[in-house]
Amino acid sequence: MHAWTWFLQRISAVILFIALGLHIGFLHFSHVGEPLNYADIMVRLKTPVLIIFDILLLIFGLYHALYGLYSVFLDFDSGKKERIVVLGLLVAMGLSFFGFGVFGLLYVIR
Amino acid sequence: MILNETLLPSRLSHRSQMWDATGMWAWILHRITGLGLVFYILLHTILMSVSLLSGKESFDATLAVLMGNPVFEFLDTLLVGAVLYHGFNGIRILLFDMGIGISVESQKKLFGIFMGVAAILWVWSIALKFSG
Repeated sequence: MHAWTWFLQRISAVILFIALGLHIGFLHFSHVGEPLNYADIMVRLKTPVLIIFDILLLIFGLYHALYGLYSVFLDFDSGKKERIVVLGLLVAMGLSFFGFGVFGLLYVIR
Repeated sequence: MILNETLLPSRLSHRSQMWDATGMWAWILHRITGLGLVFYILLHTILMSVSLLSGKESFDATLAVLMGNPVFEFLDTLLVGAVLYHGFNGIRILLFDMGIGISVESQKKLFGIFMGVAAILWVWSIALKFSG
């Protein structure tokens, strides 16, 4: 299992390198001096392409972050049982954050 | 010669050899920025969702604090620095995984180039932030 999850960590790294650059660049550096506000954010959040972009960013961001945490955990000695428990917790955490993020997004743009 | 320093026993202890290596510091900083970014992305997801769900007034009030308070502005520049370091060092690790630039010499050279680009982008982002 470790091989493809490790590979996905590399894939998500490349995607995040590009997507986070766009996310930070557009949201914070494309109109310096004009503060972000609710109305502008709503227009952005309702744009179909950006809905997909934001959901993908959330998926890859969470995967990369939580798999990163799992890699840190694997650097310490652990038994098989502990690994399963930690992995289960991280998967549950990822799914909750994903559900929460998507629910929040779809709820405000409904 | 690099070969002598890395492959042959020297007067230095293993521990100091390890801590003298650029790669060791690069790894530690990758881990620290990584853990910081994990903490940030989770906090960011919750904070943005909750304040958006709480409506216009609440969201604009949250943003006013996050974007107006000097402490948060300082933390923002640290965040951008952490993203840039983790991103550019990450691409360097990826090249390493792909077998590009594996020798110690080219590793150090690549690290220098990538950190140079990241540093320029960081300074540029700080200049942009405080020019507006």
